[in-house]
Amino acid sequence: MLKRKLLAFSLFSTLFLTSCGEHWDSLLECDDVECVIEEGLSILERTGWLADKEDFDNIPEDIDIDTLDNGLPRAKSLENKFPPIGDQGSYGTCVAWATGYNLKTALNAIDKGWSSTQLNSTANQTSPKDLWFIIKSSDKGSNCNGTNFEPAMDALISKGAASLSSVPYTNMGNCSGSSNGNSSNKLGDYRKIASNAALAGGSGSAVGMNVNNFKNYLAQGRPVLIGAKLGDRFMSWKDASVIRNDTYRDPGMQHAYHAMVLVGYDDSKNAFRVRNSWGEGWGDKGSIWVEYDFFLTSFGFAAFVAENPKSSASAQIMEKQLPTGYDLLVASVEDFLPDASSPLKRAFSYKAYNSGKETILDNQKWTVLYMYYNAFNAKDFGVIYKDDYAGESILSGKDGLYISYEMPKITGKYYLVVYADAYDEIQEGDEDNNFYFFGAEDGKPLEFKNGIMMDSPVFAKKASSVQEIGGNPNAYTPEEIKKLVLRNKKKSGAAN
Amino acid sequence: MMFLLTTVACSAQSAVTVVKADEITKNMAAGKAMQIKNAVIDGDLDFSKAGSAFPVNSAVSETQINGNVYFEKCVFNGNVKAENVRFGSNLIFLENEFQKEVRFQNSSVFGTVNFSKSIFKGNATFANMAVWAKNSYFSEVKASSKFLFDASDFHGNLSLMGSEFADMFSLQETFVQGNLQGSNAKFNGNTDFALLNVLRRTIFKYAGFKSEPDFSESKAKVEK
Repeated sequence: MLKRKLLAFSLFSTLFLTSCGEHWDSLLECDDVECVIEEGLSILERTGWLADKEDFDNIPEDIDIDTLDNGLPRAKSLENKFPPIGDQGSYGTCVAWATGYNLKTALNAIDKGWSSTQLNSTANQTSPKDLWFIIKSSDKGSNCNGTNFEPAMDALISKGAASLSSVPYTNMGNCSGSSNGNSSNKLGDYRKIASNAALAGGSGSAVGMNVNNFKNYLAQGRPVLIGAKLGDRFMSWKDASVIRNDTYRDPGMQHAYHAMVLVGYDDSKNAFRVRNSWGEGWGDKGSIWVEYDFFLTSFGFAAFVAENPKSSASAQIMEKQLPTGYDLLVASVEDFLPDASSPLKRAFSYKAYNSGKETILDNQKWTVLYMYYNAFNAKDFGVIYKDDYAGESILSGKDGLYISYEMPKITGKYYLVVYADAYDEIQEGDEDNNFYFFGAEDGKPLEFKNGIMMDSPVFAKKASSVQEIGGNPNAYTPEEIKKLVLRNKKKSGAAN
Repeated sequence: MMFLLTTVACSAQSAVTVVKADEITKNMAAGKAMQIKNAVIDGDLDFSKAGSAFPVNSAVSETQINGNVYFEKCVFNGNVKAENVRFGSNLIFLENEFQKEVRFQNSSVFGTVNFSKSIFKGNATFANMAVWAKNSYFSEVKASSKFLFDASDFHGNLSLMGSEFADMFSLQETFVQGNLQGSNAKFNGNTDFALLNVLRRTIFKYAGFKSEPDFSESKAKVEK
């Protein structure tokens, strides 16, 4: 028992020294050290989101965050898309349970139309243990002591996770195992839809923190992964009623951050339904109703949506074996600074042409845009240059001519892209090769300060997605850029 | 020493006395009891700034207020807050109008609590409180927004008699050691009485509810 307590003290101190060190001195002043150890351990063992380390600024924001549907239903439940309530036991693995076991299994169930019988099968449930193992050691606390959403979802994108039947949640030991994952169970991408400005490490401004934003995603059938701050009452909740307030008097509760999933809402209760991983004995058979206001002001600190990989437009066409027809593509893009003394005055060139078998006629119009967009909030985008074409006639810039332009005074991290047929005026056999992205070294976004490009742009022979130039696997997809451009055109009623 | 402020009169012709909320907390922090009538209290009144704060553990400090707190027929145009405050004497707010939020949370009172005949225009939260007194009065209150007593302990009687609650009203997980008197009260919004624990009588005679109140999992024998 003493040995266990010493170990507990060690684990507890390790986490607090790394994530909230300034509070450790005051904890040491506590008279009843043994009590602090026990309380601290019990809290950490049941939660495990290292909120202070979550890098919100580097997670792309969903482009649909402000797009609200009219006439939201008064209630929505996605609970029948989820596997049975899980139980993380005495390990700080909540992120793996929320992201893997709950969210990823639910996404698969939604996509594949699984029945409750199929959801009850461990062969169809994503293993939280396997997900925990594929997360890089440097991104998680030792001895099962917590991790973050970003590394968990990045691991799911790059490696995928095995099923619970293959990797059961048993014999966790000190959580130091490893895994190769399961490439057939990968995540496609994830997007930030809300973050609370009060959370240390955040961008300083609240994102998406309104009731309708959350309800909108749920109404569309999209479960929402959340990071929450827990209080004293939550820890011992065992009731179907709605939690509307909490206390944070327990010394450990100030840093008890926890990952769970939003699975529904009910206006008659004024509350969201939150699915936990503490077994059916906690809360309302494993879940809890959280009042809207309380969720926004005190409970919810981060929220994400995710989706499974989509087959590309080309793949879909190959599957359908459609004829090639038209095929506009962009190649050989270059962007450079002619005069170092005028850093805003840049020049670029590109080639865009139809490689399809059919000729584009003179009465068929199409447009090429040269654009920038914020790597983490693509709604922050702008058109640098626009070329209008009719048929296949060669105009300025199409054949490698240099085009001068002045970079808007943007500051932040951006990608640049040349986009052929940006307004989708020509129906093509391959819509995927209309883009030519470029960024900085290793595919990272270019850094701009007041319009001045701080990095040298990296070019590739073919770069129809940011991922192809080595970028973040969770970067915005060409489909999202296309959606933004078309939405903006519709909104403005004309080209930019 | 008593810090006493009264208006010359409260008739329509008289000028209204305006008292800055900061002045109140400053005087209270200096150890003065507070008795104010017929005044407009301007700005946010935060009782956690009205005394010395002492840590109760590594995460929480409590503000100790020893003197009586008495407001009568005042209008509070800002928020009124008391979080983690320990009131050593009575906490009296008679016939006041609260125009914004009232939030007494995680606080304890060693004296009578009386908010009778007050008007609450914003949300009112009396959650996670502990009151050691024979009686706590919230009689003939008119509340137009949420009114919550969640997880509070009243070590005596609690009266809601004749009050009107237009929005959500909750006694969720509330503990009343004496009688809970809710006769003639009107609950025109949703109610939550889950896990309510009343040791003596729970009296809701002639009380009106928007819909049948749910007392599931509560330990209260309701008399209607």
